[in-house]
Amino acid sequence: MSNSNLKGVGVGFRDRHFDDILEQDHGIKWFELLTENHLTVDSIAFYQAEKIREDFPVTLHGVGMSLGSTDPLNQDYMKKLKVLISRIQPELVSDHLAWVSHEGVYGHELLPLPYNEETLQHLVCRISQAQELLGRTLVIENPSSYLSFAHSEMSEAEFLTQLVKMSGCDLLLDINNLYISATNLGFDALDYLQALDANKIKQIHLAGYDVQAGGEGTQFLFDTHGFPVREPVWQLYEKAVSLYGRIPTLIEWDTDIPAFNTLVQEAERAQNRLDSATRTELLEGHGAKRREIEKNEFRVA
Amino acid sequence: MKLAELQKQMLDCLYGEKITSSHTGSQGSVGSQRSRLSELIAPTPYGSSAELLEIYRGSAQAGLQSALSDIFPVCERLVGRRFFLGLVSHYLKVHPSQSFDIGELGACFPQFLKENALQLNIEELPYLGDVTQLELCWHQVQDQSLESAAVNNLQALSEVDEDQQAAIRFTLSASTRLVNSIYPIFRIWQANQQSATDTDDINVMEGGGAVFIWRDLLFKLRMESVSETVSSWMQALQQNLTLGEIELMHNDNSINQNASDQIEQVLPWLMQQGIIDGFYF
Repeated sequence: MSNSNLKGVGVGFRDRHFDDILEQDHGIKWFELLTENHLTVDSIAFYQAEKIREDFPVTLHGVGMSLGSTDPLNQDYMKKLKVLISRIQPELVSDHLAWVSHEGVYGHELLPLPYNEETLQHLVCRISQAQELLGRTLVIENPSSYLSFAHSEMSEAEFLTQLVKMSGCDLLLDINNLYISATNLGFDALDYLQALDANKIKQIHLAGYDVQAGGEGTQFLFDTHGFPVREPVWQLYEKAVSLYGRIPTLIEWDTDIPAFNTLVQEAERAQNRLDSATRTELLEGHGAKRREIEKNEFRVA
Repeated sequence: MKLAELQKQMLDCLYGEKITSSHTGSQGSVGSQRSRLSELIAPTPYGSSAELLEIYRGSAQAGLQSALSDIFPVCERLVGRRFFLGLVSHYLKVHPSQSFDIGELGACFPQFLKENALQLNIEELPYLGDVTQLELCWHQVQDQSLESAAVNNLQALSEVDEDQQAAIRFTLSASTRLVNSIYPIFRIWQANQQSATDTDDINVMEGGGAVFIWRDLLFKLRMESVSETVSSWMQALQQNLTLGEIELMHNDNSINQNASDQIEQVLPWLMQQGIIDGFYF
């Protein structure tokens, strides 16, 4: 279920933490690199990625492949990514169930897709193409959503399940994104967890969200990656790992980036939650086997 | 609506004006486009379809603004945050991002400011275009590949026969940029750094010169105001002239210093700094 070299909890690498990572005895087991930050061969950022890789397993996580876009795959991007992969040898390469560009114009925002047959066929084709170009399995992350399309024909979980079956890709389950989408769009996060194929989930992301004002005095959850992990996300994480087992987990923090020590503390919290949830699971005699979760036990909305 | 059409309309919204509920009514082609898009979006308790689209537009715009703000902090400081965002808003409508690398977003910003100074109401800041050019170069050099290996090639330079030296052409490191301006852009740039200690007023008419940006052999990013001599050498090197041609050019132009003296002074400096990273015939 988990990648052999990724164990426990990692954190997202940010260049301001470079010296801390190499010099401190921090206990972080692995790091995730933002793909787009390291694509220029032999730049300082590329060199930093190689240095981190010398001491730790790394994963590559991108926002620029634009898998959902109807444009052709950007060959320049794919070539650079291929070079980065060959030099860094990441454990996993992931990107999002989203699109960021159309007709060569980039929005630099992960944009939503309608979940219907047209999109499914399109994505299966795109992911297969990308996997062939890169010569490896891609890992696809569920997005955080603020809207859904009226002409969607299936839920996101159903869509992902189909996508995994048809394209052979794996999944990166972002618990924060799931909580945000479930709360904003009013679906049940536990149903979502139960619908996914546990064997295909290779990584989990945890991050912090913000609560923002919506229309007419309402509120919605906004994905900032700029806060500690919120308690409801921790609770959903515990449910996920008790359901799936010890999936490698990453702390993401992309805005208002704190001192490295804060990330280390957040990773320790995640490790404790991971240990506690999976220990309980073992004591109950279920192991990694799925268990039914009482829906009344946890509500997200 | 097909996926491609949906994506086109949504991206138009991201680079368009702020979306309000009134945009769901028909207001010309953009208004009706948004109307069709809005019909596809399922309403939620916290917002109408227009408000939901605005969440994405606002988030995308904030990301693009932040990227430009990171590249052009001095420009932002010179014109103020609010005015800077106005410039950015105009810029993005004309030059939407065409690269997966958000770091390339500002490539046309200096030229845009220079060409549209009147419309943008920045004609009283004639140095702004050159200052942003300097910031752009600084940003570009940061992400360049490092090429220290080529320095070894220079050791072979001392072994070149004297009669072959005039035919030598030098290669410049990709991590170098030269910006010329009639304004004191280096002083303006320095005075607007967070660590700046120089609080003296700058007379923008005091004259400018050439500013050089490069990554030195210790990979440190450097910016310095350089003499006319160095500047003209750099321009000659950029034109790919031979050492003989450069010498001839400087013998013709130089009043105070002959070309042989310059070769002894300028060339070693350019090499020691890693600015020249190799040579060929």
